[in-house]
Amino acid sequence: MNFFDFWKQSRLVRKRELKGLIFVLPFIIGFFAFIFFPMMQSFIYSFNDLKFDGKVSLEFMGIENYKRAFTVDTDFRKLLLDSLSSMTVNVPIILIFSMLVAVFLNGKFPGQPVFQIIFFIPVIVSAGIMPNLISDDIIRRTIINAASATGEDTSLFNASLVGDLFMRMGLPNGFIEYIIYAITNILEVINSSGIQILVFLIALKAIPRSLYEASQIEGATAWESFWKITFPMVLPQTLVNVVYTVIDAFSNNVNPVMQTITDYNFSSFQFGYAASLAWTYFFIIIAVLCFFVLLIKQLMKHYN
Amino acid sequence: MSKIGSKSYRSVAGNIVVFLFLLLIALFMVLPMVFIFSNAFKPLSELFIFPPKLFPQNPTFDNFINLSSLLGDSWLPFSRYVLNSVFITVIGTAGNIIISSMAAYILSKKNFKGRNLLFQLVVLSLLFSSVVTAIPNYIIMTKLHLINTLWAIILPLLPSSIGLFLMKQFMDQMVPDTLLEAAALDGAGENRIFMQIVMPMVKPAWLTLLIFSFQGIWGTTGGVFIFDENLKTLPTALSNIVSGGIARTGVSAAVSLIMILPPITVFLFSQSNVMQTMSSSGIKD
Repeated sequence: MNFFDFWKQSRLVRKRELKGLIFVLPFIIGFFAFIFFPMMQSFIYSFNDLKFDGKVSLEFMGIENYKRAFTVDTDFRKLLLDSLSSMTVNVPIILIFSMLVAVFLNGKFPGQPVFQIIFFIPVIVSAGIMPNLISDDIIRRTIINAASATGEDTSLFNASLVGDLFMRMGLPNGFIEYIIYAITNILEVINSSGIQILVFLIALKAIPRSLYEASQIEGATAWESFWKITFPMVLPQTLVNVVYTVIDAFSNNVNPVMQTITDYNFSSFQFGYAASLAWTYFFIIIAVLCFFVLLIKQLMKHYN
Repeated sequence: MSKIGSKSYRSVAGNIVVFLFLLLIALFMVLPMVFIFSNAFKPLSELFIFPPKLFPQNPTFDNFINLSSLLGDSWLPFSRYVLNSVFITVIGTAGNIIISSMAAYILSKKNFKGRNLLFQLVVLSLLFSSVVTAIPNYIIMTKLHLINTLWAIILPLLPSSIGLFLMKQFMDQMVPDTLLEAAALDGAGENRIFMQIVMPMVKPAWLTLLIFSFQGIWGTTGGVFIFDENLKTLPTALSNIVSGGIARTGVSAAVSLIMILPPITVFLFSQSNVMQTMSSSGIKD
């Protein structure tokens, strides 16, 4: 709507729209000042050689930085491919796992609240300076030793057991490998599922019970009512979780690509090059995210 | 609450299998936490035992006593760092929730030009690695004359893209448009609709956002923006202490415990509230 239309409207409507503007304004100002503008700056940096000593001096060099990333820097290409492939594998595993746990946690059983707390622990332990604190010293060694001592044994045991079982069931090899991968990486999967479980749990609790009661009267099994009621009802939150999982996995500080970018930025001070890597990475994440979002959107269409 | 739960027709055997499955995973998850707790009370000699013991044999408060004497040696009282961190976390978290909820309400329920574009920009910005925006951010803070103030830490934390995203998705789904129209017809103003209808309906969502931003902001160090010892945050002070090498192992165990307690408390508070809201409000039926 243009400015002229705006004034032609009644006073009341105008007041409402001004109110609306006031509601979004704090976010918009903050967003453009502290998120969008710095992003655009770094986009400019990516085409320059940048020196920074209190003041920025730029030296334009065209697409030299990008050329270097794609043709000279073989390490980066490899890292990029690695993180891309592990992502396409990990995102579905994390989503399925957190959905599973959320469905279980939504039921009634002894110690349910305790379990709910426990499943959020990784989010707390892995936040902020905790990893630094832990990584600096013996606690880390202790935890890692402990986790890998128990973790590896148990998961190897599980993996061979489950693999065996699936072989007997005559499932396709690719599927079996996927499941085994999921089981052997269970620690990593668990560690990145905290928020997703919480989001799914809220969605599950918001489903009206009457739907389940009705389907039960109709004689539907638990399996059927999961696919006919639960799954379609939590699809919007699945979308939230897909976006969150992709973001979390890609922008995590322990992600090798992120570490490389950080190194270029803060250790060797090649700011321009770091910016060009970040932008390359950014576009690749967008592609991955679009893929997953379109997938979920298709599912939502299917159910509507 | 009705007796026919969504899962009540699962068989007893199935319940036991589910329970065992959860128990197994829960054990994995609880392990690091148990170590953080028990290490904090282990004497130095026990911290270096390999393989590590799960529980301390001779629990002591030595680590905490050492920590407090180390802190006593520093230039400033411990309370100064705590105060800085609490200030940042409270303002940051509250601002985060309020600002992103208000914006989410408009983006979710009002039609205006550029709405989709704005939302897409926000989502896309989430994907960008913030490492390379450090320099532009520093320059902005210099221009605003905010370097070496706590606001340099707080202000960039306020517009939370993930918060807006989360709140909008939940408002889209949980708040029916017809209800808002009815309220507007009854003469409720925007403030009232937002405070008394929208926010209570999405309470679980912003309580989740509360945990999320709290634990994120609590760990903030302030990085390059703060030089003044007076303004440093608790994580900065604590990581300085911990970086003192292997002799500080016991102290860093105590520090780890101190750092994780507030987020856990907030989590417990928020989740018990979520559960109450869920079981008392009309959301369920």
